[in-house]
Amino acid sequence: MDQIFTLVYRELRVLAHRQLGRGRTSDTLSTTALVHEVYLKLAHNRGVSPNDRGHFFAVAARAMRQIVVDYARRRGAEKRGGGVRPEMLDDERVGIAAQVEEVLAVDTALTRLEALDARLGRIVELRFFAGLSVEETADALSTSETTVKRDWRKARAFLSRELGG
Amino acid sequence: MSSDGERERWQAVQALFDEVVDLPTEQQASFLDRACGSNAALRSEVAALLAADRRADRVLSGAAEAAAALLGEAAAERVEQTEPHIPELDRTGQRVGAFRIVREAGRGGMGTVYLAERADGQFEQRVAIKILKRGTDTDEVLRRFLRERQILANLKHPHIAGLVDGGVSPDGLPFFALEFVEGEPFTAYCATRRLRVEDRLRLFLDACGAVESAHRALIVHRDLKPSNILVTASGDLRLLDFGIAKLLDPEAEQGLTRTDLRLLTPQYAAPEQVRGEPVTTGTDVYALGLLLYELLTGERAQRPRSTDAKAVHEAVVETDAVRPSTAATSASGLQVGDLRRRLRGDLDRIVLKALQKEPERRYRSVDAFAEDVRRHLAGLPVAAQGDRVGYRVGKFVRRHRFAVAAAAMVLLALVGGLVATLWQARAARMQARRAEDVQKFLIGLFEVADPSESKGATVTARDLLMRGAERVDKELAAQPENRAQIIRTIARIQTSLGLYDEAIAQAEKALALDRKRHPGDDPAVADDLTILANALMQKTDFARAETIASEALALETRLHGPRSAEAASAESDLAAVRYEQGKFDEAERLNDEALAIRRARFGEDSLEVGYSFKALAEDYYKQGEYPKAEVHAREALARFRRGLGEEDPIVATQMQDLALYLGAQAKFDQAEPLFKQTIALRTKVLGAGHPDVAITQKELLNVYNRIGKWEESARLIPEILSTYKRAYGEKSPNYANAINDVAVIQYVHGDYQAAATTLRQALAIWLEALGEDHPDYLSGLNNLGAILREAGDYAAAEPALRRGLEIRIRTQGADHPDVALARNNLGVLERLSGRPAEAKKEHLQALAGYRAAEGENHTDTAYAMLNLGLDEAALGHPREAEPLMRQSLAIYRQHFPDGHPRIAEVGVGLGPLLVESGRAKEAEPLLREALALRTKRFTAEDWRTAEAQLELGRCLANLDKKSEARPLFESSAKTLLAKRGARDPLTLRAQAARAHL
Repeated sequence: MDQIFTLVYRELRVLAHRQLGRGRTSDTLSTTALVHEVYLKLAHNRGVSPNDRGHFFAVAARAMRQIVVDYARRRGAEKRGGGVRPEMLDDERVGIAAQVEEVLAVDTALTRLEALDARLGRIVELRFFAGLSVEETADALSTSETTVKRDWRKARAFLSRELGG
Repeated sequence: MSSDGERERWQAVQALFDEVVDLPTEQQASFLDRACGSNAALRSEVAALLAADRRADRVLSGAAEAAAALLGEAAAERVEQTEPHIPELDRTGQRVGAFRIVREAGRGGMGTVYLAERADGQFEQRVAIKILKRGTDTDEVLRRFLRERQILANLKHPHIAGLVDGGVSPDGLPFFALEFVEGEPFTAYCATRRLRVEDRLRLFLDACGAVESAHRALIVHRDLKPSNILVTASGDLRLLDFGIAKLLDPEAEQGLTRTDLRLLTPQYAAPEQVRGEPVTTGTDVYALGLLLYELLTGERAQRPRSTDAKAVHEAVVETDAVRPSTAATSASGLQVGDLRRRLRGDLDRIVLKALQKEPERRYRSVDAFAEDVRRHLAGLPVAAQGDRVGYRVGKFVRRHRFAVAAAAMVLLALVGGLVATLWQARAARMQARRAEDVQKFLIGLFEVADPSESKGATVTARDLLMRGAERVDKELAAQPENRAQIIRTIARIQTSLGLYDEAIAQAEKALALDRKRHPGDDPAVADDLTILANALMQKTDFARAETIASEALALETRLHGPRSAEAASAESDLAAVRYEQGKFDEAERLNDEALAIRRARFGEDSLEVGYSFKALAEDYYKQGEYPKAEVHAREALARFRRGLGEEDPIVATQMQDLALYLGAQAKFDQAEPLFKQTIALRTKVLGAGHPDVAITQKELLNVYNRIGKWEESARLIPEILSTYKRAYGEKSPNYANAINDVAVIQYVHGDYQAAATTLRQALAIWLEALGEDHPDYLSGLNNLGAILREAGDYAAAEPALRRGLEIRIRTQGADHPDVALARNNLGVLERLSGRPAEAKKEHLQALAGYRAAEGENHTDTAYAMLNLGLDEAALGHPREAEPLMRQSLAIYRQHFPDGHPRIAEVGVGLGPLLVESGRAKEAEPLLREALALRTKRFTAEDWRTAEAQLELGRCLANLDKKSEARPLFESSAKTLLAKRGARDPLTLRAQAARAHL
């Protein structure tokens, strides 16, 4: 599984990109669908065994988080580095600026949570970034749905507090 | 990251949260009272979490949307540019034995080390798990790996990180778990804390104790070095990594009596290891001697120039260590004069005895070594006798200082008086620099003293350079060498000013000149290639940049050899390009190689190594590996401080970088003071009015906003503005851009009035400095219109938008999509101001513009349709309005299946039309959706949410669902009164609806 993170990261990006190429707009990409599609593809082509399913989703969730946060960082860095041209404020662009802020804030909060409670952190990655259901999350972590539900609620409360919403 | 205390507190909080969260709200308070007793802090933390739980839906769905949208944006990027990185994070979350992996902690030759925590719920425990690397599981490596495990099992000592568990990972690789040690390398720990010599010696005795106990178990460590001896924050020392340790019991193993050279760390190797002779406990004595040396002097006793066998042999076997009292530097963290006096005599002799090249001349055991240290501490005579062997005193020979002053003066004449004063002021400092640095220095002047001090100054600098380039061609036609050199320098300056096209042209010119003059390999050509590659990269022409940078690397390698400083620089350059191309692995490999070369050539503590660390830290940061970025940034900072002194702009920049990386890890309590320190330092070395000061102030502002220090944030904004004012002058466009940035921050935080005031200042400056046709001024007008519209000040917003539209039509042409956008925005404002007929005119034109530019099935087109429909509805033409709105809704549904604020706009427009034509049932789901979308997007207290409440209420009242309509009217009227005032038509309508019911 040494290469799997790399593989999954790349596959997720390629697939997402291709979907856009097929004329879907960025707003219609479904995280969950992407993650599952990549899993099916890898399970078929690369012989990722069903036993690795849980591990796969953990990796995919991490990759998904990374893709989004990387992108937000690049956007954030553009903003920071630039500063030459004033930003254009209109609905769409303010939207993006706010989204970059928001995603970075989630990432920061999640980093904090991971330091306090690594398991809750993983649940957030699986649920929030990979869009897994409670059942799938329980499956991926080999734990019960009740535990996942309880922990997810706690993690959400934590994030919501950190995000100051 | 978090202290154990924090984790404990969280455990208490989360356990209580579980108990209380499912109780009915009214019982929660009394339950908490009972459960928390006098622990008010615990109570308030759980209460905060419960409150957060109640709004988690709203907060997280907003965040989820943001993440989804960014994923879409990310997907739209070219895939090949964003190759993955962070290899080997793959085990995160994996369960290994009784543990679950938290993150990777480091990599060694045989295995990867992970931080893990106990997952079987028995008790809390953090461990370091070492798992054999897949693909390296050859018999030899496997044996070594298992031997390490065996060795550790035999060792029990308070100063040795002990074995906790072992087994086989789910993917079939052997692993073992060790006590997790969170600490700093021994030497760094002592240096950064400036520990007294006595305290260092006592800690050193702990290390001796650990090694001695291993020796008693017949184990030689063989790899003692600072990174394997950590000291925790509480001052506890731990010996780690028995990875290449050797069992002295001949029964236990055969074949590994010698150390594999490839596994050695040359700086910490003993002569017998380098000579390939048998290893004994004396090897560890020698290594401990090296360690004590470094601990006391801040310098390494052995510094091979490179890692090739000859250089290592020379440094380790042939060269005697310089006496510690002579070698001591401030890198030790102590005052050098005092330290040298302290080391002279006993400690010199003790250290040098341990460092004898022949094992038999050293202390006969670690215990004997430790005993001498103890005697010294007790003031007793020591066993070590003076070493008569002469030693070579290394002398640092300074290079000639003024070699190229003349060349520099030529360039100065070109750039003229602009920098002359600065030149004077900094001449003293400059004199100490090396020859080529004169040019770097000049470029630095452009960066440090940003030339845009007055209106249009950037233009002046650009003109100066162009004039310079022309003069070079004319006046230096007869001196091709100088000519090429100056052109090259101009290209470099142009790059630093962001004039990439000009820079590329000049660099190509220099390259052509030099190639013609030097048909073979030549350093000048290499310089040209380097500059050209850099300019191309800045211009984001990565494909060409890669070709040129690779050529430069090949040339430097041919000219100076593969392990030369020049090759190292070229490798870093190529790494930067590869990084931008998303080839992270290759970039990392190149950077590591460059680092290794610089270490060997310039020494571990050199500035050059510092620059390598800086580059690596930046890459890690961009990849989101913040802890690694932090570690590397600290390494760089330490070297810059040592090499440049405390008060240097480069030190300040590095401090800022480090603070940024800390902030990225949410270590705000460390980031905040560091940003403040950076501001103080930059103010001191660059002056209060330097733009870099403002950049750090803006970073600090971000921290304040992130952690909710609003008062500090409010106080900082005027400071930032005043810094910019001093930096650029009140009338410069740069100052206006800076003001605009601040206005955007104010806008994002909802302070519309302040944002508008700030932005107006910027507009006035742009107008005067750049004229009204300039894109910056137009952006500013648009921003002002958007801000004022948000603030509800339509009368003020309109002239801004109208002016912007007029100028755009004139400068961009009536068909430009930006013009359609401007019309759309202006039309919305006209409708909001109660002039739907004028609005309709604008929107008709906007619709035509979008149809032509973007086609029918586009969300922009849909937006114009929607607006036109809303205008028709406001004009009392429901028949015309309805089809337009339906069509726009269809387009939106296709593009935004999961909802989008624009769909709410259609709902709020179309819903009332349906209600009034007797189709309230059809309107109901639309309006419910609209209310939900607006609540989510704008919060429940926003006037737009109130508008949706009002329309849904009217629909429900029409359907005779009065009890459901009433609270909607109540809440709507209340919000509108508060947010839009008593005389606003919407407020009046809501109040009428409430009264009517």
